[in-house]
Amino acid sequence: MIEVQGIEKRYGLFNALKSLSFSVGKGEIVGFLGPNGAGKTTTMRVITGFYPPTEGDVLIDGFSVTKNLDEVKKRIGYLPETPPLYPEMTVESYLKFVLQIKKTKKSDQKENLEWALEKCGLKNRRRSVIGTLSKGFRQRVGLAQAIIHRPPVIILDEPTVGLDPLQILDIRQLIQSFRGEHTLLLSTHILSEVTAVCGRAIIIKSGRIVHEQSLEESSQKKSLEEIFLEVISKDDFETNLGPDSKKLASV
Amino acid sequence: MIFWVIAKRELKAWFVSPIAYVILGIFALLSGIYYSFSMQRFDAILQNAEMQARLMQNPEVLNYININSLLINNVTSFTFMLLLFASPFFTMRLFSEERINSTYELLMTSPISIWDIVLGKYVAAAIFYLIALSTHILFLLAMFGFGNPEIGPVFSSYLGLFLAGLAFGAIGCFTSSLTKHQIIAVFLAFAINLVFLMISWGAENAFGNLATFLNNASISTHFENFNQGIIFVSSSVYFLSIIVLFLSATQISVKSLARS
Repeated sequence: MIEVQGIEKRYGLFNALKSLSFSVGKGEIVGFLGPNGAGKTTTMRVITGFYPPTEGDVLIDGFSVTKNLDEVKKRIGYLPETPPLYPEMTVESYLKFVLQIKKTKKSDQKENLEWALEKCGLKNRRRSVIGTLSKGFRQRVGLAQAIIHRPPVIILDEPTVGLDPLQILDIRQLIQSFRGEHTLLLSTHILSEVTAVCGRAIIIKSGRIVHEQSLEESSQKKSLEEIFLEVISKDDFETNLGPDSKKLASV
Repeated sequence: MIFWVIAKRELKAWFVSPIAYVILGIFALLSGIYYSFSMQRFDAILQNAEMQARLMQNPEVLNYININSLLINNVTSFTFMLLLFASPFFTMRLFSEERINSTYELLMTSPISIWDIVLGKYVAAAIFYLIALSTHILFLLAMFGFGNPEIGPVFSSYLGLFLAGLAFGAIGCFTSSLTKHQIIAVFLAFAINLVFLMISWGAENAFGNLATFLNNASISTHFENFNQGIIFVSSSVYFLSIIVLFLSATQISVKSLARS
């Protein structure tokens, strides 16, 4: 469903992603792990078509982000790190707006709206103004926004950050309910979250995949936490600088 | 018609925030004050003319008193200057707000084109201009009720005002897309608007083609054409080119937001 083929992303001399490749099958829930600044958000932005990759390509359901961006955008629901909300709108009018800009068919709009409200537990908050909602509810509205057009691929960037334990549990249950139906990629730096909801974990560090493992089989010798600490603390004297910087240094 | 969805949302957001009312209020207040001063001045001129007509026993003098040129054009010229300074406030939040709410990530990852976004925002700004200008209906009602101005030149003046407003709006759209700080967007738009106003000031000291160029590059020259009651094709094209130029620049700037 998601096919990441050797993407690179450079910001000037800074090489945020270095030929990153992985794939996520249909119905899978994959956790994307890594320390802060590892390139999680950049990868997600490349997958959603927000950033064009400097090199490489991403295929979503067979459509390429560099060539068929519109088709890709129709198939993706994306929750960025800060939920993209208009504070002055009510939950319902905001979600209706999202349905319209996602180009959902008129006949499906009402049904999708009710479905998303139900799914995210927002039924009795539909007339609340978003600016007055608590952080947990805002996060839910953000989630509702990502799933409302029923995209086959859902990308969540740190969906549980800043929430209290009960809200985290709620969101996790919600994420698990998508298993099988939707393909889901979520980033986090909370390890227990990955073991709780994901079928597979990908650990990246300074723009490179350092570890990939399935969490389905319980016969792992080491826990994910041990592996994570091991791979990210390995000091391999790598910098984030791209090929151009070496030239500069030699001058 | 995706751009209309965006325009509608933009306008609704404007009118739930107090800023829209404050800006509209200040706009109406300032043009109201100027209108009443112009009215007094016109009254003085009229009385003077009546006195002269009586003294010289020559009612012809009164024919030189024209409500269009002495009162209405006066007010519209002032409104033009007012728009130049007010319009950056109309447009400051268009794109800056999206960055603050990080909703531009929502817009940019939706299956809509960047032109839809830019046009939607711009149409919202244009409607806001119409609402701002419609506060002048009161003055016009008073003038048409108690005097008999010609309707043609009044229409052309207001068309000029609207077109100039649209040009300022495109400039404001562009500066708003450059920064997430609304106040910076306002000052940048002031600067660009003022360049378009002041460019003709150098024409007095220039000769030949340069003087013609400087004169014709200025937005006030083209507005004055409309204000005199003449709808020039060249002036309309001038406004249209400013609009197209700055909206294209906005489109490029919005696109590069994701590319930085």
